[in-house]
Amino acid sequence: MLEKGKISNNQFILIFVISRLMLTMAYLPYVNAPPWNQDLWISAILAFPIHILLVLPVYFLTNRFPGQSLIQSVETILGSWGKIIGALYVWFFLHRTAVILRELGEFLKAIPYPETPIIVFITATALFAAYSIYKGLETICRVAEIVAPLVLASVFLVFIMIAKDVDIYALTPVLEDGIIPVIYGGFVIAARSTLSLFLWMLKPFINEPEKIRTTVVLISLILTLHLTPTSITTIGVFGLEQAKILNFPFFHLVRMINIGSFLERIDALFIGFWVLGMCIDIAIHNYLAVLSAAQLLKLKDYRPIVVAMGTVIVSLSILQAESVVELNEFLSYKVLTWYNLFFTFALPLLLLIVAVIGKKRIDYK
Amino acid sequence: MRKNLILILIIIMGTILIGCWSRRELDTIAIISAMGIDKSEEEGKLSVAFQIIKPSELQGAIPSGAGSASSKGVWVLTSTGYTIIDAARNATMQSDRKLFFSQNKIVVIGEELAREGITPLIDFLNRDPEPRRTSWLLIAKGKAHDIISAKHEQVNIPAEAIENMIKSSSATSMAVQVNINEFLKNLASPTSDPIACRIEMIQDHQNKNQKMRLTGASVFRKDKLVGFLDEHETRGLNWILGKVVSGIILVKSPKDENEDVALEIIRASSKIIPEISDDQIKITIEIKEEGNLAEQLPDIDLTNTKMFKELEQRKAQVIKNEVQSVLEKAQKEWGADIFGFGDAVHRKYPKEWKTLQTKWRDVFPTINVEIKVDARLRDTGLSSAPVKGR
Amino acid sequence: MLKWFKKLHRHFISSKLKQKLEHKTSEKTPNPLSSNLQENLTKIKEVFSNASDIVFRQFEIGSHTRIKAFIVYVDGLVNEEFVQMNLMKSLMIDMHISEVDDELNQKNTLNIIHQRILTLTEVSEVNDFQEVVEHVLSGDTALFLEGFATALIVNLRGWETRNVTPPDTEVVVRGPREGFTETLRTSTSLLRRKIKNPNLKFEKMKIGKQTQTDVVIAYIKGIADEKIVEEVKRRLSKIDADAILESGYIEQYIEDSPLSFLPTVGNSEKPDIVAAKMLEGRVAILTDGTPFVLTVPYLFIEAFQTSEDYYSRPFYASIVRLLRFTAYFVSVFAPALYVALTTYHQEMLPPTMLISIAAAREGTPFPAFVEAMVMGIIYEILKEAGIRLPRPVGQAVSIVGALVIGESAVSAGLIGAPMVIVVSLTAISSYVVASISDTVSIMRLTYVLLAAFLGLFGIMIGAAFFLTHMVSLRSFGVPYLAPIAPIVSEDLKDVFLRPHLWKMHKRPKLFTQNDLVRQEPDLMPNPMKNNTNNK
Repeated sequence: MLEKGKISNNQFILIFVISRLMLTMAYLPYVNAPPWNQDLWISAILAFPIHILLVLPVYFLTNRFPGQSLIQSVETILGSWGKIIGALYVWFFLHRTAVILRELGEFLKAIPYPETPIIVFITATALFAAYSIYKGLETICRVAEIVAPLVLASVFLVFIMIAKDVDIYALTPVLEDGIIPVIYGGFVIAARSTLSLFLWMLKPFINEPEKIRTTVVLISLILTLHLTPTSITTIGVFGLEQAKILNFPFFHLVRMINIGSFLERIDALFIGFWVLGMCIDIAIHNYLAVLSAAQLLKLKDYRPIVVAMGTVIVSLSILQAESVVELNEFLSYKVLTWYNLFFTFALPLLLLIVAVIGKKRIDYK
Repeated sequence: MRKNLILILIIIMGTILIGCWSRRELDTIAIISAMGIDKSEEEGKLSVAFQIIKPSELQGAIPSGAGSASSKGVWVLTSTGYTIIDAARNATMQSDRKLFFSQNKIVVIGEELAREGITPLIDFLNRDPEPRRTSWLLIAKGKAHDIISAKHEQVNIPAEAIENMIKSSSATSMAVQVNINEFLKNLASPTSDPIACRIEMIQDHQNKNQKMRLTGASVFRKDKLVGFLDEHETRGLNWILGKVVSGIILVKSPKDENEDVALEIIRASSKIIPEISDDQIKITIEIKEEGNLAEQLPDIDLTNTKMFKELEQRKAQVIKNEVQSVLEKAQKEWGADIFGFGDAVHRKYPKEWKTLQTKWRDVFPTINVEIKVDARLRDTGLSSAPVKGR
Repeated sequence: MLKWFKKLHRHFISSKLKQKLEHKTSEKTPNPLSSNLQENLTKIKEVFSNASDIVFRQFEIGSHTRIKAFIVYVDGLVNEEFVQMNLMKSLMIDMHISEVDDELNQKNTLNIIHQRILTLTEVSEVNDFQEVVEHVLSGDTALFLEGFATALIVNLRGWETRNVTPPDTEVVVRGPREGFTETLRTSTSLLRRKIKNPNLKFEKMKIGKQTQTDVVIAYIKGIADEKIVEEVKRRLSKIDADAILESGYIEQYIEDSPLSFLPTVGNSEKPDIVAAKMLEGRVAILTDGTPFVLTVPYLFIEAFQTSEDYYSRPFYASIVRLLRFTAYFVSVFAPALYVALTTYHQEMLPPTMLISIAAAREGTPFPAFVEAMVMGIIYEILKEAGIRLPRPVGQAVSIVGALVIGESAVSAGLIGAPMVIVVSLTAISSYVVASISDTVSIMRLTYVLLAAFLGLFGIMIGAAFFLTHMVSLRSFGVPYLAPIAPIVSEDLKDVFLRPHLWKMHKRPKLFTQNDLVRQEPDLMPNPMKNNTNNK
């Protein structure tokens, strides 16, 4: 066993929520995606069932192969061919970590540190990620347990504090272009999530795997509860057209907070919490990359490859895009949705079909 | 142990080498409290005036010299450039410090420049991380430089005075409160036209000094200034937008047409109700107002029901006139939809809107607007009748 | 780097093994006493040669059959009056008068003396020479008899001790004033007086090759987790140190992560605190020669819980506890935040405040972070000087510190006034959580450095590192940051607030799984209800 630690279901919820939340908090990529209008909040609600739907193939797979992680069960299904699929997934995690790292750097470079080279932030955060991976999964999850409530509380505090500036009429008319683009929007939101892969990789370490259904529903619920007010406040404060233009809508939202002219200018504090959350986000993604690579290579311990993987990730995150514009192109709904969907839904569905046809399963002992 | 030492050395070296890029000590930045943008004498250039706070002079001034006009808490630096950021960087050659925009509260734009369109100016405020979208946007009738370099009797930093003037303008509701965010929101909206605050220097008759005064609002069509509203017209605009908070309405006394009665506004609200019938758009503005009897000059007892009714009607008429005057100017004269009529139609008739949207500019001036005012008087204040001299 | 760690580890282990082997061979070579009295005497005199504090007294017992005997003890460790009155008198005079004198013969002397003559309470028979020496050294008196290869060990200990006085470190307004003393026996008696329960166990050990220090592991059987008790015993028995002069020595040998700057072993000077901790399932380690008692497992939150929280009513106690958390964050982050805000994130300060700070900073020669570092270091120096100096001089130091550093430096324009405010605020706050104030100092300076180089990002990366380090620590198997991370919802109620005593009807789940229930769950006092019940 590579990882001896066990995590509780609540820890799994928090670690995943935080890894989803942080990028949304900074970039809010959904405003520039379907439905392109003020019905975004309905899409956010619709994403809730779609999100759960997209997890189903992996849910059945993990039930079929209990105690096996992604890499292991792929190999059980496909034999040595599984190595290739496994390698694809290692690449996916690796690339994802690099993307998040780059996004962290781009945000910090754009707002508080315009003169500092991006590599400083990327290296510092990657160092932290490596350190926490050395400490193991349990440690990462425990840090998330401290940070996630802080982040969630501060986000909801922002909603309360900005509420007086929200122009609720900006959300009307409802369903202007009909329901289809709204559903499409919900689908795009849900497709960005990597919950199924998190579940697949981490389910062997979860304390009470039999309660995983409640966990998945709770995760989707929290994400919806976050995204719906976010989209309402963002569009309500800036208007739709402005919200589309802004690079960091939620950050601007925090900047707009002004209560009694003393509770204002709290954006740096927001950046502080955001960095803390991003650290965990990157650490867990990096951990998944390292763990999957170690499982693929059948190592006894993943620690020897942490530094090597970290180096690869740092260089990848810098080399993957020349500028923020190029990065945003990849991250837009046109590319990322389908890229993500291939790994989180299509491939697992295919594997599930193969497994069912081949009658492959692991029985409970 | 030696390896430990090397590790520590690497960390220290690393931190020293990576650090300090974005660092700026407080005594290396020039804190800007207000900026004014005008057209420069040179063709195509902007002239930007920065009101820079001088902390060292303010520190001693707070206990002793508060109010003394001689103590100058700010320094006005003027610089030219092709864009704002160009001018800001050029200013560094005159200032020993780097300009720092985050505390900027006031952006004043000269009338002449505003008439040519202000989108290129606003872009900097929207794009650069330092300026805030909560800064107030004012259009100076005249030159913005005059506003920036004007002094204020009570406050050492004139920008603070302007900010407080804007904030407390709700006491009369005769000015608008527009920050950059508000402006951009309306500018980006496909139908609405933005407004901004209006400020000018006026002559003080007593001591011949010039002083700043908020005098209504400035109206844009798209991003170009088309005209100014005076104070009563501005209140008319605020009636429509439902932004009247407080203020005084003067009506002629029903008993003596030469005397004024002051009625205080306690609360007000408005509703814009669009209606489309036979391709004809009709908009009804419903204004509800409640108020007190605040002051009356003639010693006639007005506190009876009949007089109250009379006063209410006169008040309604005043409000109606104010609304009418602003509609006249903005709708008929300038064709600027600063009232959000387009949004109202959009909300109520999303299907019809699809065709209307493109020709809204042409449709807007022709819209038939009906004003309904429901004005009430509730209270007489502390005394029921005026003091009678014998 | 990794390789180097491994090498170090290997080296460490191998040397330990070697030592252990050597130790095993030298240990426990049986060295029985001789039945010849003279032989024993020379042997013991040889052992205690050149030790002027050892007293030998030779005498004879019995009138009919005279048996030669001698006693040996360390002068100063025994109560000489007791030796005279209770040992020598009963052997040399009382025996003559009593009837047992007639029964006395060569064979039964030892038995008769042990069973019928000595009126002392603690008497034991020892056969081993080495053991006798150990007993003598720890203050017992040894009685040797002619013809017996057994010595009688009599406890007549009595040495100069400090009285039970209020400790200087943990001052309370409400609560018992007594503190532990350097004498182990006094300390255990103080604990026994708090917990009058046969389940309170005191297990004794001797640690330290040279010092042979007495160490007592105290715990309440049935409440303390057996595994933790076993683990404590295992770690204590593995200590192979030369000397244990203070419980700090033990702490450093048994702690979970010696490379961390955070303490994972707690200490206290007060019996009521130790008793309370033991009642929650912790294990106490009492060491002879120091009033500081160790308690394990030690969690981070214990620094925020004081005994007085539980002695006073819960409302204000809860506020004080929240204040303690605030003060902790202030003392850790305040200088770093000041540096970050004034050099990186000026936009975050309210305008008036920014202007005031900027005015104060105008014309000062050093950058903000140098100011913060210098002031931080000066403060640490003042603190150290204040502790060490004799009391009259200490006052002079604080006057010089306050006046020169605070007032003059500002008026001379060397340091900005806001920095002085920040540092003094920090200094005061750090004493609110006094028990971890030394770790706070380390963290504070680190954060200032990070803030100077990367502003808030630096602080947050530092915080992330620090949090990760903290949650990865364990103290005797219990996660250091529990019950916050991992969340133990049952124990969370006594973290940020102090609930009513009758609400805390269960012991913390962290330390013990057995005997969780303290009392009935619903003991809220309700006089009205009680009255009706009585009727």
